[in-house]
Parts: sequence; structure tokens; C-alpha cells
Amino acid sequence: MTVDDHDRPDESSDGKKLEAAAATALASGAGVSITAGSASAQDTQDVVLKARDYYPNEEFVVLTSFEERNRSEFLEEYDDGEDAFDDHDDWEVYSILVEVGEPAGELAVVMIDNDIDPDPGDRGTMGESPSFWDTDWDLLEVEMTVDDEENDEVDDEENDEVDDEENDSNNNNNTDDNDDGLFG
Amino acid sequence: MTEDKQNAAGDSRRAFIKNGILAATTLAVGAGSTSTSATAAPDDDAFLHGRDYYPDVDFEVLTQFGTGTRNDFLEEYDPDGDVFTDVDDWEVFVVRIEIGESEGELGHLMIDVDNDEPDVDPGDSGTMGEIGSFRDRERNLIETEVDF
Repeated sequence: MTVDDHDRPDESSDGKKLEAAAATALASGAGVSITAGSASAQDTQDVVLKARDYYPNEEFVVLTSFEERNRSEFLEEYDDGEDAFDDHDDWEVYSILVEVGEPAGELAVVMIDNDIDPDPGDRGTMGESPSFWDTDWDLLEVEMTVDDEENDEVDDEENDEVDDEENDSNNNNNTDDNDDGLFG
Repeated sequence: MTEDKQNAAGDSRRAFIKNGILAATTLAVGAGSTSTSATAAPDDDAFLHGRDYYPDVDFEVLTQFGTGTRNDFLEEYDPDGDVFTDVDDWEVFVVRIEIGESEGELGHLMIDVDNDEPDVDPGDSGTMGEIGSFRDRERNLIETEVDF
């Protein structure tokens, strides 16, 4: 772990924290990555994000899924030599709001290697056992569990417009379903 | 881990204190120093999350959100429109902040364009203003000027 910025003393404590978290995870063994496979609307997926944006066990809400132009542009500019991400076409990119330091939260960008396709408003939790994706880039790989607000079949078939409406009505109709977001 | 929450809150506070000192210093130097940034569109308000605001630090534009991506972002981030009243007035950029030695840090930059499309392309560089003030304390949003 390189402490990447001496101008920001706060960063160094993040680094130590991270090492401690990694060591703890290692000590407790690989068995910790148990996924709730029975819940159909819950997906667990490895994601990649900057070490600065990683908060163990914190919840987040998905703000937006980068549309195709933004997705390809972002990866091309961020990683023009394909050093950190081998095949850019394999990756989706999302902005999330991590619910840490509430009420402000923290904005972050996460890269997800296909498989799950969360929608804006979906909530998730960051895992607690990160490993390095790329040490030079300070990129971590960590498991995230995403609670899909829709049922999976509908999610695959319908367009986003419909999903959003369903999501809104879910939110309005049920105040204790824990899907109302940070400011709900 | 509650420890992280405390640390994060501490970061915000420290950032705020830092900003406060910075603003005071600039004020002491006098208003004459603010007239130099003639290259940027001076009316463009740039908002950054406090954690993404580094005074006088360069950044690179990675992408400017398309309409759908932007709308989702702002509507989820600020569902009641407290800060971003009319989403069409705003453009959202994902930027690489040129700090550290690990290919920079990723941040979001919100610019009030008032329907004027800014002339900014992916790969363009910019600099965050030296002066930042709180636009929304609850969301830890900092308002500053940016030079492209």
C-alpha cells in the first residue's frame, strides 16, 4: 500500500485502516465470502474502485449507470493504455453515493465486470475483504451485495423508464422497506 | 465499522477548517488577486463534494454525462431538488484529480451551465479555484470556480 498523497495527512490513516482491514480478513480466513444465494433479488459481485472510495461494510445507493458513450469515454481517458482494465468492453461504470459521514455521504465511481446490472436507486453494501486489483493505481477489488428493487425477470425485460416508475411506487407505498434512499 | 464514520466526519470538518483558513488568507491578500482568471467563463459555478475539492489542483475531464446519465445522477443524489433545482441547468463531469501517485483520484464535478453548453472535451485539463465556499453544508458541497 503506497501512501499516495503527502499533502493530505488524512489519506495515510486511510491506508493504515485498509491494511488492518485486509489483515483481519486474512486472519479470519477465506470462508467469510458467504453470499446469500437464496435471495433471488440480491446479487453479490466483485467490483473495482479506488482505495480512497472504499468503506468497509458501508451501504451505498446507485446514482447512475454510465450510458454507453460515457462508459467508453471514461475508460478510454482513465486507462488509455488498458493497463488497469484489460478489455474495456467487459466493464460497466457507475456513480454511487456511499452513506458514510451522513447526511452528506461520499460520491464514488465503481467499475463492475458485467453480470449484475444495478439500476439507479438500488442499494448495496460494500464487502469487508478487499484485495488489490492494481497496486500502482490504488485500485481495490471487493465484493458488493446489491439489493435489486425489482424482481429479476422484470428487470431484464423492461426498459429503465418502467423500472423507475415501479421503483417510485414501491418507495411511496412502503415506508419501512428500507429503499427510500439517503434523503427519503 | 463506526470508526470509519467518525474519520469521514473528521475529514469533512478538517476540509472545512482548511477552506476557512484558505479563504481568510486570500481575503487578507486583497481583492486584487481575483481578477486574473480571465480565461474561464467566470459565471460558471462549479460544485464539488468537499472530499473532491483540492484548492489550486489540476484535474482532467474524463467524460461529461449524457442527458440520461446526468438526470439519473442528479435526481438520485438530490431527489427533492434542494440544490440542483433544474437538472437541465447542470452538466456533470467525471474527473481525474491530479493528486498522489496512483493515477489520480476520481471525482464528480457539477457545473451550472444555465443551458449554455460548455466547450469542454474529454482529456481537457482544468484547475480548481483557490477559493471554495460551502454551497450546501448538509451535503458537503463546495462551490468554487474552475479554469479549463
